Amino acid sequence: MKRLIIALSTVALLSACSDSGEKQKDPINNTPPSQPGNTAPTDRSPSPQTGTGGQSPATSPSGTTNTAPGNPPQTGSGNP
Amino acid sequence: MDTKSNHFVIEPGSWLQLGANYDGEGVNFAIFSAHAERVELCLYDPTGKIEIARLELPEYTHEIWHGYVPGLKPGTLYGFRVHGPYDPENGHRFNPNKLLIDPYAREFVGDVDWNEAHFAYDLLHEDKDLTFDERDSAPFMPKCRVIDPNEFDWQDRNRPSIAWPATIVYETHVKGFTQLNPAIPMDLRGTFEGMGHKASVDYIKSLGITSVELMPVHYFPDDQHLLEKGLHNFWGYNTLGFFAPASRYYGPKGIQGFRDMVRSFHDAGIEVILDVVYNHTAEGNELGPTLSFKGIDNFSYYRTMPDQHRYYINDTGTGNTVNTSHPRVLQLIMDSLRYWTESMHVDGFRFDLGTILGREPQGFDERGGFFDAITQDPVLSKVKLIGEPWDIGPGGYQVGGFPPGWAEWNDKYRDTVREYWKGTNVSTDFAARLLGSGDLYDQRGRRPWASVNFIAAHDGFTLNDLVSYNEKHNDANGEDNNDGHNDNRSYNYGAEGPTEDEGINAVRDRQKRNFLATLFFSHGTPMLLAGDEFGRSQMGNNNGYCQDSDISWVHWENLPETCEELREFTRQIIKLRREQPLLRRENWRDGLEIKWFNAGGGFQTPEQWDEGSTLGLHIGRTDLREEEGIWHDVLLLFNPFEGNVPFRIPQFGEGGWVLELTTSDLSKRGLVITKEKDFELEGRSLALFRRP
Repeated sequence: MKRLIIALSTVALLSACSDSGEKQKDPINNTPPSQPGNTAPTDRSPSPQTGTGGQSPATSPSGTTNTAPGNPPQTGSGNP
Repeated sequence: MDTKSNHFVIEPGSWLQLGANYDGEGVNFAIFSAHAERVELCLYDPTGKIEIARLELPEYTHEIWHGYVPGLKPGTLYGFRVHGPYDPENGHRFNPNKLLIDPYAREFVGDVDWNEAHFAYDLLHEDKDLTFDERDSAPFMPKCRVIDPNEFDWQDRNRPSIAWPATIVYETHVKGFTQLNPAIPMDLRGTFEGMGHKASVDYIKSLGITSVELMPVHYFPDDQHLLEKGLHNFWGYNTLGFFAPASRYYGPKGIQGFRDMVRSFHDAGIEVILDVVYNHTAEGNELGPTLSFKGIDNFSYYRTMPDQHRYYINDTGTGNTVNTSHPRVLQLIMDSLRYWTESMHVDGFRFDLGTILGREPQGFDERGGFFDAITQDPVLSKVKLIGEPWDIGPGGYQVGGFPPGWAEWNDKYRDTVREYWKGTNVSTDFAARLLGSGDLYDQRGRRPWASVNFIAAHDGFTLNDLVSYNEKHNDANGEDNNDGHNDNRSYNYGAEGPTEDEGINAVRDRQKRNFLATLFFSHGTPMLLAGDEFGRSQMGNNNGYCQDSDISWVHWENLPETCEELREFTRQIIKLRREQPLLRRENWRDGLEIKWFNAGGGFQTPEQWDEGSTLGLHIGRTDLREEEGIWHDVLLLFNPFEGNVPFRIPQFGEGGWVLELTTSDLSKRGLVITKEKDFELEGRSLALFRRP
């Protein structure tokens, strides 16, 4: 019986230290849940800082920005 | 049957290895195109100006055109002309009048010399790309160069292999970092050799950095519209060659300078991470030039609109989107990554607009082909992988959404910390960001290091400008200050830009220390923008992509004394982070005690979180080894408001609290508080106490 208790305790301890499975509370942690959306950009306003540089004029011959007239870009691949 | 041209013979060769590959006796050429009708290999004299042979690739196997030319040696210059339908409405843009560069070229000679001949259509015709242009673009194109894969001796040196929890990233630019550095010989400034020079490496090492992240170094052309305005593409997010170093950064040793640079960093124990741009190319949209993919097999390499293949899907905002759903395109990216890892010895990658790479026909998929290919790859799965987890397409914002094994630029960290020190109430979000953003990354075995924390990056205000400008000042970019971002969460504290007001400058200096201390005392992976350690300014320009100029280059001379003080402060806090395990958590379930206090010394109440307040954070671990100098408890105090706050230092456990630093007065270090007592936490300051 004593062995069983020790084994169960070990399992419980290991599971508390585990990095997998559901999120568990730390022994002492009074951090409040964050409120995402307070400040960070949302899906409607994706992070503006994309690293792709400035935009060229829509009429630029090098054509680095504009899309088809009257055809907003769509997600996903158009190619089979 | 052999094909001859000017005494060259071409044999069938092999389809197995794409690109131009020298085997000691000749060169094998192989290029993928599913829709071409025939492919010609053009060989050039050493000047790159005279075509000396045009050989048709004789074989086509599994959608790969290939041939072998005996006797060719490394150094041979070449390009391709590809025949097929010019039918934009069905996604095909073949035009053999245009010389095309090999997507697998390891090196280029020359640059794109912009000319109307680069366009596959008549630029002046009202039907635009539905017309056909017959002018030869070869005189205006760079030429691909065959290299000897065994020409460099790495001398079997080991790579640094920095563990993620110990990683400190330094984002910089080869030219911007070196161009004005007086410690680097003039002929090496702006080059890979300058970046790998002892002066550069020693300086970065002296800061305590473990990993240098270089802005794009893949071959890229200048944008025509920038050249017309007398500007240049400085950042380089405009790739044309995914296997070739940007020759604009060559010094006297050419391509070897890149390898020398990597080896120099490795010898100093520093990793090299490349910022890579696989999401789009320099060919723009349907009105852009034909330089490579567009003329080789437009329909395979790019994503086109589902019902209008003339037009491109533009999730990148740059005109085109690379089609990672195609297996040969995916192979190109994987081959490129492996080449840089195995042959050029880099240690990791930061993927520009990384969401793009995980897009499938139904949208972003963290189990998409790109991520799956990386995850199962025995080489790539072991290097550092950092995603820029967004693009401008629908569903493109994916912070926290990348798969296990990946780290991500965390813009929530950037924005929240900026807001907090500006005095806006974001306390609960600030708490989460400080502790590694577990709300985003504590899932599926991801670790705190998955959050790449940063205050500033190349894109946006520098740290100095974040506390010096309310508005962007991008006039030099020639777009009437309409480019760049308006939402910077910055504050100038009373004057826009540089000022002689000592009070304003003092607040700015303190805020810079607050930001840096917050960054390096936060859990996650810190990333420092080069020059922020001493307050580099871009004079309010928050979009320096086209400023290959004083605006973007790091200035090293004639800096005020406060710059040197900030640099020493940065070194000090990086050293603390490196020495103290409590400041760089490795695991979410490490037994760490986390207690948030209010200024009265009690636990934070829900009401106080809602109101926004000065914060105290205790983190402690009782199981840390008993070793001299290792702290078991840390108490961080934050006051983002203008006025001082008497903060009741809580007492629990054994021993008094020792003040390690406060951003308000660097001379106060060493103060010991042994019983419950008020500490005058000055306005806009941070204090770090430790035990023992």
